[in-house]
Amino acid sequence: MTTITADQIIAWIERYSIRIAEQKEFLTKLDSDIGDADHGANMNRGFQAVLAKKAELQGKDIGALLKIVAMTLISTVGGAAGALYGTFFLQASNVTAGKTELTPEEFVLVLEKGLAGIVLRGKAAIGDKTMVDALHPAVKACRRAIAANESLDQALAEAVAAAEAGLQSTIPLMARRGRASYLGERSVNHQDPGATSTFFLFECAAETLTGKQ
Amino acid sequence: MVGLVLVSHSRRLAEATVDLIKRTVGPDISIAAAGGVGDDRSELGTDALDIQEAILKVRSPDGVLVLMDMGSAILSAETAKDLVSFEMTDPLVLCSAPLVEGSIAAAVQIQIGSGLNEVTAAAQQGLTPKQEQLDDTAPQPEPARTDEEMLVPAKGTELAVTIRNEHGLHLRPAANLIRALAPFKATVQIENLSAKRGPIAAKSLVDLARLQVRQGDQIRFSIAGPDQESAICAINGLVHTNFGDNAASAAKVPPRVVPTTDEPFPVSAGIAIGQPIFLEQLEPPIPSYAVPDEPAAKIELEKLHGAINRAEKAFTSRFERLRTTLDPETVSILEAQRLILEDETIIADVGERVHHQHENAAQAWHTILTGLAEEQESVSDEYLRARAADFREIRSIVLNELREQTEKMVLPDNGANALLVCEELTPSLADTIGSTAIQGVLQLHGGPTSHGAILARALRLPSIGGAASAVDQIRRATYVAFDGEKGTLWIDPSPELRATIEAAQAASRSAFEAALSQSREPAKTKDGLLINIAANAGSREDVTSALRYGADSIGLFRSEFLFQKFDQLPSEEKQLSTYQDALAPFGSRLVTLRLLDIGGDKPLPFLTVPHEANPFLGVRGIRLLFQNPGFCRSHLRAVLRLAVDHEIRILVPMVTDHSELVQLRKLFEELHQELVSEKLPHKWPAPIGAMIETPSAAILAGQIAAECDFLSFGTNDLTQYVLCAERGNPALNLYADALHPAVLRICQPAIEAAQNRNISVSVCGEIGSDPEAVPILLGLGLRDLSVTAAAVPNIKALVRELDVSRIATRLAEKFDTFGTATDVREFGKEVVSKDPVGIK
Ligand SMILES: Nc1ncnc2c1ncn2[C@@H]1O[C@H](COP(=O)(O)OP(=O)(O)OP(=O)(O)O)[C@@H](O)[C@H]1O
Ligand SMILES: [Mg+2]
Repeated sequence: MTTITADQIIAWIERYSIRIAEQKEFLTKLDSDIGDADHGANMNRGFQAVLAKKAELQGKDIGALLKIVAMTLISTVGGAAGALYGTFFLQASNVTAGKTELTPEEFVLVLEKGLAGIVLRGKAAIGDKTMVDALHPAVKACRRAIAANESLDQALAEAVAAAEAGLQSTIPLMARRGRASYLGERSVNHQDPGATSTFFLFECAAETLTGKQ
Repeated sequence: MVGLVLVSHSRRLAEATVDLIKRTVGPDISIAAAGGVGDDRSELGTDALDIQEAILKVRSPDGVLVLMDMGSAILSAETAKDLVSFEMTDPLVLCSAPLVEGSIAAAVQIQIGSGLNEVTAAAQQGLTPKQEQLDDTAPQPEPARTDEEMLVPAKGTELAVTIRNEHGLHLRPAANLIRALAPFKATVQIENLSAKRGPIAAKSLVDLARLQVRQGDQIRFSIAGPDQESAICAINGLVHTNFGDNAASAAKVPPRVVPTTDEPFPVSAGIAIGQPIFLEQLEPPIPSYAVPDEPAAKIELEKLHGAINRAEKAFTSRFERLRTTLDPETVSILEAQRLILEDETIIADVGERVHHQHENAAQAWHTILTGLAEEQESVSDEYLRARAADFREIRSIVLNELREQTEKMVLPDNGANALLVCEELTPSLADTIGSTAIQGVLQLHGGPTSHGAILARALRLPSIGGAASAVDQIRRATYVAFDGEKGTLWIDPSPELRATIEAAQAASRSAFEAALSQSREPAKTKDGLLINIAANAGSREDVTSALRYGADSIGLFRSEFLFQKFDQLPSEEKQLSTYQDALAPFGSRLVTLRLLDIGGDKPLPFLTVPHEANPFLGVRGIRLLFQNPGFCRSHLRAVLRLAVDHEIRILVPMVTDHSELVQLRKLFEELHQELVSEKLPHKWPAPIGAMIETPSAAILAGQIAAECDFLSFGTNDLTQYVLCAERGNPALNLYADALHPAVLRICQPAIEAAQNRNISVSVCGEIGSDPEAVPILLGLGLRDLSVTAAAVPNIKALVRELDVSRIATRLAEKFDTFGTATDVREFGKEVVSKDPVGIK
């Protein structure tokens, strides 16, 4: 059976950090349309700080390394995304404490706990034009695929597709949470930056967690 | 001294505010600034660790108040609160007050040594002086609710309403709204002003759901058409009852308990063992063929319409059958489900997929309904999330109808060796399963008090809930067993264990069979007392169960469920025929019929009560009947006429003192004269009894007993009134025990009064079905119990084991020592177990 190792989790985080760096301008552009033009900079500051701690991550169990990621994000990102992604990884670290590898089921649980953490912290529902719009369908798709005994590859591919669909769905919406909600109608017709960074997170997962690096 | 933390995206703003406070209020305030990100904190943003540090810097046993600006400052502050909770237990409050004004007001309070609550209150009031000076007081956010204020009529045919419903306009109130507006010609548009969504036409449940109307939102109705005035009246009526939510939430007793552990929990007693079958397995596989062109699409959609029609017919007939046995909340959920079947937007969305994405009908239906269920699941409201099951169920029903006749699902052996695994047992699912041989239901989620659960217990269908964490193991298992009474779950038990489980199952079944075979016999105690074990009922089905389980009579027939189906005041004839139909199976056996018992806490559509701050202390029961003399007369006449065919005792709800009985008797006399002159067959005099459910009635039982022919304790209400603990409030579950000595003591004089006058006195609350309570009730002198029909056999069996005179003696000795319900229960337990006092 496929499992996900701690090294793969590190590879995932690393790949994501690089992706964020590459997409920094784009995320900031999206945030300048409906927010305060800092999502790219925020995320990049946080994940560069994570990258700087790569050596510290190595050799740790998954719970411990995710906890470092979480705390680093919480203390460096600075925007709403810091508290939210930080909470995601913190919840994820709670269910992986002591584990050096994860079965696909366990991985889905990680996602589910992370999602629950974000929803609890941000109180956003689907349709509020936030990262939850991408995260929720992605996690659900993954759960469905794994429950149907599909491969991890397949599950992650479906999660990416679902995240993308969720991301597209944010375009016509009016923001109800976060800073963009102050803009009301003006937020309509723009893609949500947080949902975009969440989509990248799943893309990177599909690239690194399934063995076809 | 309370500590103060100021959080801003801008470090400089936070620090400058600190400076402002130190200079204007005083230099010795304990205050810290947090905010800014980046190496030198010069960039805008907030960071939870930074906030945590600031909190720890000013921590004090008096507490810490945190004020913040907006956006991530709030999220980070909340995160900091979580983090800090690991190392600090001092009180910590995050407050929404404006940063500058709020913190200055707070600092002033801190300086004069106020506590955290006062400091917080001062911060929240921080804007007031400025508002008063500038004369621009913001509109009060939530004016206290009065009915006038709820309706702010806008120009002409518009109506603006603030939604009070706890869960917003969710499925059930939305369904009520659509149903109520359906008969009108006027078109009604609805817009969510607060969320700036809509307008949409008030026709589709799905469209209404997409308005995302939440509690506190303002919505606007725009009504146009020939009968718009009547439509407005209808809307007004709905607003009064919070779109029918009041009725249902009051009926939600006991409240939905959402178990917090990941462990399975008991739902419905009984041991079940078998092969796990997942509900999805019963859903047919979705065909994958594409729909190439328009003609093919047309055929697909016709198939779908046919399937929906059939599903709706089946659904409606099942619903009609169930509606009288169910409480109003469940009924309205079923109503809402039926509306999903009729929803125009869903049909349009499905049509769209078939036409343009070339999906077949089953595929498209599956996608749309799954999407709706998931949308529902994503909301943060626990109650609403549970409603996702409604969409799933409707999805399955139609998919089952859509499949070809030849591939109809067949349960192997009709399910005799199977356990059903499902997300949550819904009432109609419970009903479907009730007619198969399925052994039991394993719910992945589902609460112990859900309506499916109640139905499962009535059907004696074993069930447990909360098995989600074991779902993967269950999927792989060949055999699963569980004990619905204890909540134990066994996955693939070893052959030895399986044998033990099967033996336990056989034993409990045969114990019940034995009790059942005896249950038609009278229940005589060891010392020869005859105890009347009656059943509670509210519908024809209940009456049938009462017969099946051997109840001696019907000790409480509740009228409310039967009347729930009327949208308008039912005529006398209608009431009569409704009762006749329900009681027909019981022939001429004794029925204690309670007059319609409604009030502000459980209104019916046709008899609404103006809003009351305290409906449990409001116009309920006989009070309501007296205040609606027209309806009251028709109701009492129907009851007198019913008494011709059945032996009826009339039970009066919510009696406060004997004057009400005197007045009622006079009214009956008068109606009797009327009926005589109209030559309508009826029976008078008939026995009249008083519910003893208010403390007043219990205290004045002597006088009341003199005015009536029997007494009956309504222990559920009596308990809430004596202990001052609202019965629907889950936080007060501790006080929801009728065995509390205070309740027993208030009952004692009433029991004596009945004995002195030689009239019967019974208990018809839940407590009668509780084995621990039975010896105590009998020991106190009660000889009539009315219980849930399915409990009759076991209660009779228990009664036969008791020696009541010995229990009474022991109870009398101990009675004065009881200080809490637990003391009483200890005693009851002792008696029911092996204590030689009661059972030999
Ligand atoms: N309450 C929330 N729940 C879920 N996601 C949210 C919430 N608030 C904001 N977001 C997400 O965060 C993204 C913005 O992140 P960003 O890091 O730019 O924070 P921000 O809103 O600019 O914070 P700040 O308040 O510091 O300006 C949004 O696009 C949205 O997806
Ligand atoms: Mg931003």
